[in-house]
Amino acid sequence: MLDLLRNALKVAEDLGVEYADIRAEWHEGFNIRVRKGVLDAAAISMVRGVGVRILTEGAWGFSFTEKIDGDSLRNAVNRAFKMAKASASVKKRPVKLVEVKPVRERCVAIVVENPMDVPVDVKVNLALEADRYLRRCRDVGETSIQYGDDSFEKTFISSEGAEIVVDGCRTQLGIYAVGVGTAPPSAYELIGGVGGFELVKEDLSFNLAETVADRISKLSKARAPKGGLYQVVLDNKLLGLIVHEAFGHTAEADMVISGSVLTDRIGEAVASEAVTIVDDPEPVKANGWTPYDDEGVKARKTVIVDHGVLRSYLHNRETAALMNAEPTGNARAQSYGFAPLIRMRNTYMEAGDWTPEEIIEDTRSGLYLKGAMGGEADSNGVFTFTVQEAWRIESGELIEPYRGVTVSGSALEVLKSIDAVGNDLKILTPGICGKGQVVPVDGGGPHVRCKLTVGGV
Amino acid sequence: MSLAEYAVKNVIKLGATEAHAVFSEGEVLTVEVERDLISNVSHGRSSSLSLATIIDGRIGFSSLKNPAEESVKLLAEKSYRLAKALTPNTYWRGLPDPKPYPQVEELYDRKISELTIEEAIELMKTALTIVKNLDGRVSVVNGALSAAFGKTEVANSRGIYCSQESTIISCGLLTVAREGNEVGSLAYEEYSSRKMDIDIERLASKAAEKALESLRPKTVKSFKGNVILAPDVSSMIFAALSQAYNGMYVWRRISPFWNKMNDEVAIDELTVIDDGVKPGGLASSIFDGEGSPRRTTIVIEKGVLKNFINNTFTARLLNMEETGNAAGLLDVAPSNTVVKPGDFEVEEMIAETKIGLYVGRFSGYVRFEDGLLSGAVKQAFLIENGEKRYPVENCMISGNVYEVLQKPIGISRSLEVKGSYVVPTLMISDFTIVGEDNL
Repeated sequence: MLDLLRNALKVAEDLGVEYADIRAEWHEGFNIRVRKGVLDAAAISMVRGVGVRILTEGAWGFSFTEKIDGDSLRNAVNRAFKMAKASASVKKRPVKLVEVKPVRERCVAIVVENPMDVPVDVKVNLALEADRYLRRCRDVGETSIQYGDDSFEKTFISSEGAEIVVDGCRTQLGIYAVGVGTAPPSAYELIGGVGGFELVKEDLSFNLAETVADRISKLSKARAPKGGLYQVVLDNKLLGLIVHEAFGHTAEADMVISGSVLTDRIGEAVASEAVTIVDDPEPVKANGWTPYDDEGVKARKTVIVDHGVLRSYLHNRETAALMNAEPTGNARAQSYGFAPLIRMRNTYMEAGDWTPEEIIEDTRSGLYLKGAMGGEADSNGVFTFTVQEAWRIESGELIEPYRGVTVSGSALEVLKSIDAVGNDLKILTPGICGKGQVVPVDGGGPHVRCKLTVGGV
Repeated sequence: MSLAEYAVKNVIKLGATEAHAVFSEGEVLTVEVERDLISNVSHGRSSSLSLATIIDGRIGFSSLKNPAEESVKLLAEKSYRLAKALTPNTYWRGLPDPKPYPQVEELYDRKISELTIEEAIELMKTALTIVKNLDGRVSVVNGALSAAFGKTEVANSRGIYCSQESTIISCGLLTVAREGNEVGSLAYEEYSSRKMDIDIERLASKAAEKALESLRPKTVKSFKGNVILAPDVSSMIFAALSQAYNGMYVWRRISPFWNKMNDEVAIDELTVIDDGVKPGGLASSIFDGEGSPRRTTIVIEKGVLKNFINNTFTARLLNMEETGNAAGLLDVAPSNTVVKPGDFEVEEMIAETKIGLYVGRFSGYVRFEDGLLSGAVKQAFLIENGEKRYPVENCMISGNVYEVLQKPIGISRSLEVKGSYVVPTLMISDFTIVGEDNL
């Protein structure tokens, strides 16, 4: 395979391009779904393809092929070259890339129990058993369990001499349940990340099922809160989502250049002093594990905000050159079929020194918000998220559960309003992030207290 | 013999009781823009084969890219081995039988499949120029124009074989306006069509105007009043409704509509149609994901729930007819959701509103399970005494969709196409609007 790619790269070099890279990928995925208490179906998917990116006359061109032989790769190179030439004819500002040292390395994710070695019936039984745990709860109506694993190998070679292979696997299990009655509550939880079957094994999945069932029970009789601006305590997951969606995206250099709320603010205080936010490619098991990005740049932990002060944006080689910054290894593509964009990896807030219990005990009146079911944010940092479970706090105690809670706020105002940061950092929000392309990411943080607008009745 | 038929034949030969295969291939040309400049031009071809092997209710799917006869043979073996290792889906009632297919107009336009790189770049260049010329404060954050061609074939072991070709051109622009240190709300404008009829000037102007409108927003205090939901927002309500009348959620009893057939679920003025054969519709096709014919289904007629949308699987379980809404053998999805126009002009809705909000975009959720609608408004304007006053920020709306649809609502005479939704502007009274109050 490597020889085929090298030959294709030679074709690009012979065309006299400024730069070329080739990414080859294979995936073998396995998925099962349980609904109505029975196995719906199982699916195997096999995916392979090669993407070619060419920079010529200061402009990018990209092409991909799923037919992997000498002729098809040569054609893909020629098509990418044609695309770049066409783009160059209207280019206003030539693309420059920051220099990076080309490396040759093979990176292998930690996989304890390779899912490809786990028999199909073991996976099926895990999902069926998790479903049984859910259904033990009287308040649970319909359920759905989804198990998935994806083994992959990605090869990157460039005209600068880089040859990098990343070999890994992602394993996940998701649990959804809906209550009974005329206006039933619903709940969803997902576990897993980069690693093997050990990430979802037995107790991990069964405990997750119990968490979901327990949430359905609590929410069955819950009502919606009155809307307005509240003092709120956020759990690790909800904070992780806000840090990623509302803040992280505004620190992506392409967004910064287009005009985000963080444009021209390096060195300024953008959050309370208690806040340090990082984007980290390394945490073991985290879903956004990225040893090298899709431009062959060694990914490094990037401190975006250090004790409230904005320190860095997230870059690819092009924006790093444009903004005279160090590359951070944030260029990521959904697959061989896409050219990479600037994307986060695992984004989280560093721990503080409060225990989560202390934060709640110290709150006179407010809401405790747990988990999220999606949301979105603008480049000005204004976000909206749906909360899975909420509790009214009075005099430091959790009094009453609420459901149907949506929160909204402006990231910078919320980060400035943080007055307590917990010591319980957890990175446990495996998910996918969509920005035209979808890539696996992770995030989290400790419990924090801040102010947010809550939508209610 | 097509690859889909070949796959079916192979897996039946191995001993499967039933088999179903989908072959698809396509080609896409894309021009991307980032921060007002063309950033990337790309092209790719893709093909895949997905095979379902069924052995006495045990259902194994397998798929691969770039299929050829030899690899399809191996896929059939893999798929067969997988199905054998599974437990049965006890609800499975068998694959669909062949039926006559409809004629569907305007699914394919050669002008799209023959669009050149240079022509695509020129269209995007025009869009960027129009945005900048309209107002220097607006920039295009990112955007893409893509022209795609696709071919799909479905075959099964009960004799279904069907094939169709289609094209689609789409262009989306995400814009933002900046004035000094102030950054407005992101605005998004998109157009997709199966015909080469894209009006790039109109699209770019709208994208720029939307971004500008949201500059200098003000906050409001909480109140109850009218909300006027533009088609971008009302389409989210109809998307939730389409889940509520989805046969899969009905059968699983997740939908509150499961026991409401022939009940009044909305006011008389509301009629909703699932139209899989609408000429040029983005979700139109000759057949659905299992190879059953697409058709038109009146789902809600004058407020009364008249039908659910089904594939063969849910239709047999619910003892109903399938409606050509298979997203796959086991999933159901709406085709084009078309709402009958009402009597209101949008201007009349605004004029009738003493106090309320016009909502251009909405960031939040509409949950079909319990009807809860909650989230933040974007591209929203305060209406006072029948006039649009100023853009608002940090403002949320919430209510219950199922309750709202039973109360007097205004439905606009004009409809807009939003992807596969053809929907009106809706005016809803007595909605909770949450502003900036300290609690």
